[in-house]
Amino acid sequence: MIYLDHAASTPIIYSALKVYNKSLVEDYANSSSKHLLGANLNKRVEEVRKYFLSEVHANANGNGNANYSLIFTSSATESNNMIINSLDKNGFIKEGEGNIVYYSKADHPSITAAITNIFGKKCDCDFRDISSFVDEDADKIKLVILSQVNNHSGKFTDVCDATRKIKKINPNVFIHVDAAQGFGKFKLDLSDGNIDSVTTSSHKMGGPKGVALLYYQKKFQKKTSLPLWPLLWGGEQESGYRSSSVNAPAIFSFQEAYKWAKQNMQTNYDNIYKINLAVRKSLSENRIKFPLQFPFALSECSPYILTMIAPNVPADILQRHLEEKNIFVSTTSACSSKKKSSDESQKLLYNSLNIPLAFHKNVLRVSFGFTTTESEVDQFINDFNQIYNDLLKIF
Amino acid sequence: MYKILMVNVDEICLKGRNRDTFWNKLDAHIRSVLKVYQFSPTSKYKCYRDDLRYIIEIFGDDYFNQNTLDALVKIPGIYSILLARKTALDFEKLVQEVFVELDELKEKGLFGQKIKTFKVNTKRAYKRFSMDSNGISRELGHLILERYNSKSEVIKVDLHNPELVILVRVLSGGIYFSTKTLYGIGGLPTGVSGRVLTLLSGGFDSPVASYLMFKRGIEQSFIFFHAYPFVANEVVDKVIEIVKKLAPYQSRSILYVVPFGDIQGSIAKICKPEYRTMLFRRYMIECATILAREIEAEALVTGDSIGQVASQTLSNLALIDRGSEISIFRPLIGFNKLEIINLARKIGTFDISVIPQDDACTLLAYKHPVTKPYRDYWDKFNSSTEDEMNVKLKECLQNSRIMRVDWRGNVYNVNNVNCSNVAETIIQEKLK
Repeated sequence: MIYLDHAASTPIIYSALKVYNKSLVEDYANSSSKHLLGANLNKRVEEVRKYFLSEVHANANGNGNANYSLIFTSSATESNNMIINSLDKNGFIKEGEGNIVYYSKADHPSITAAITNIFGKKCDCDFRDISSFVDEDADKIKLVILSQVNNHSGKFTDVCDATRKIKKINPNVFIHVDAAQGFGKFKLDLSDGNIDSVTTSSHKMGGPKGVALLYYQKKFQKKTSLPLWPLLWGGEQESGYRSSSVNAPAIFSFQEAYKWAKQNMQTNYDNIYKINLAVRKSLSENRIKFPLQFPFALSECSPYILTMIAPNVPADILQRHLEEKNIFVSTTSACSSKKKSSDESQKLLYNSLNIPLAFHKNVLRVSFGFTTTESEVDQFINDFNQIYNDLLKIF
Repeated sequence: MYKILMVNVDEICLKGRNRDTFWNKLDAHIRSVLKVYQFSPTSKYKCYRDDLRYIIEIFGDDYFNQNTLDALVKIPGIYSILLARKTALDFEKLVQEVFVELDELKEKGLFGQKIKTFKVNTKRAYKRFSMDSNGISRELGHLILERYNSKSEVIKVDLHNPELVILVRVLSGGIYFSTKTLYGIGGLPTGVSGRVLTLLSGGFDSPVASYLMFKRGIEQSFIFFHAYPFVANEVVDKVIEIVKKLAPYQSRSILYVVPFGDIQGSIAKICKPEYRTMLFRRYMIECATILAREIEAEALVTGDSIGQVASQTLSNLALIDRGSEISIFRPLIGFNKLEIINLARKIGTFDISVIPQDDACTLLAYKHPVTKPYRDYWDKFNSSTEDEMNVKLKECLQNSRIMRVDWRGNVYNVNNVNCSNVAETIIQEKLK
């Protein structure tokens, strides 16, 4: 089996699995319990929290603006939703103020759907696409959402640089960064304090599912002007922002996966870069034979994600032909989607990625992970060439 | 809360000396429905024929539940089912019981509103009963008027178009009466006309074609050509849902899901693009023919309607038939789309068929498919690819997924070893 859909989810890293297994067996206590078992577990969770905070230089200890807190959530979707919901509930974005919100239609649905559902109906927001960011009406810009790595195109954004520029224009803009695809693969540095909140995820980088992080500036703690707003009410875990029994085993395992990823960050990057380049090169060699396109240059993308346009052949048919050969890639399109609305959102998505309408049904996403090997990719290139060539005779 | 059903049959009454064969099939079908839905440890039921009526009676504290009634009205061959009550052979008692039932209607406020006219229809098969049919109808009608007709709730007798019919049947065992009638689908009992293999797609037409064949007492197996990897696997789930809707008309339904993507892919690669759909159909028929022989089905059924799409022109259908060794029935041949859709709504397949799906034929179809095919090309293509196709047909039949659906809609996977063996012998015969 050749798994090339790591941007959707990754297999768990072995050392992380060991930690997970052990913790599932041993750490059965509830970390909120008052007894010794609970207290000890709680201490260990707090250590992980400190670890993740220090990894992104989230606390400057007096020198600089960085002063972040961190809560463990169940998914990147939850983290994104929590921030967007909070900005609505705490009145940061209010009706009648002509708010400008910058994000991308190509962002993860947990951002796009949350924005349209939470802000779309209530406020008279002016939604603009981040790719055409301009300084105009700087004082009206309220919220900017950046994806460190876009999950469809793989486009990489230097979030430090981007936020610095935005804050220079208007220091009051709220900047949220979705780093779910980039965490553990690219450096994330919060030391300059320009970013207001960050989402990361565990299962996109070899950790277990069901755990994610939300970094946020301490100034959003309770009783200040912009409180974070819980989605779940209950036992006041995570400083009261996210009630739920703490998923300690997943948190420990996430930490272990991150440690591994961090240690091997450069080697991983170099490997995947090579692999990505190889796929681009060998599939382009055949371009005379078939019209394959790579709409996004490697220089501006994360090498972990490779988006291809295969003209003439519907992507889902290619995907199923590859699936028959035990190769798994991803596509968002289908010849006849079940819902009209998903058709519409797909259109918006690819428009914002500048993919022409004629190719919307031909977009294929190949995404690599830490476990991807060169021989796997060779096999993929081979099979893809053959299948695509074959199908071109039909379509 | 009824304990007696009187079943009136449809076309059985047209039969002569072979009538018993038909009765036995219907009897078996009804009993198998009762066995599943009407099970109660404290009650027993009895089924018996009384001339042209079939009576089901429950003894004990059970009564007919809605599931039984829903299943019974789908049994082919049944014209109508009367929900009846029974009294002793005594006119006074009959009147009392009828009043009890009509009082219920009165309490619901139906008289004068929904029910303004009524009639009593009596048949006296038991001639020793002292009053004759007309006498009973007249007397009962008179008493009903006396009791229920008032200034605020006016009801009248209307013998031609009554809104309420009170049926009275005087039989040797007692007097039965009924005010509620359920209508069945009519036709002949399932199984009297043999077995066919029905080609199902996920669309509107084929399920309706299948329903029409059920009415004629035909047992059916189903075949679906699954064009994976050109279409997604969800299509199979949709077809299973359709089979579930058709399954109640017979006691067990078998669905063969034949992997057909490979064949369609290879045909599309080598043939003239305008002939694609037609050639797909040709090999579907060929494949179905082999399977039909194997499962001893005597004909194929499709949902074709003349001229509906390009592949259903008269020339194209005729060409398909020319190469077929087996009869192909097309019950929808003269139906308009709207008529088909109305029937699909009636049998409940509309809501499933309406879900959009990928269809390999349209996916791979050429902009201008052939409507008047050239025989020369057709024959040449078929003879030049025969060997290759035979091997592929064998392969796809061997790899079919076989499912059994019982009429409550439970799906079971079947490992039918015979399927591939017989397919093999048939193919070998052809290769010789």
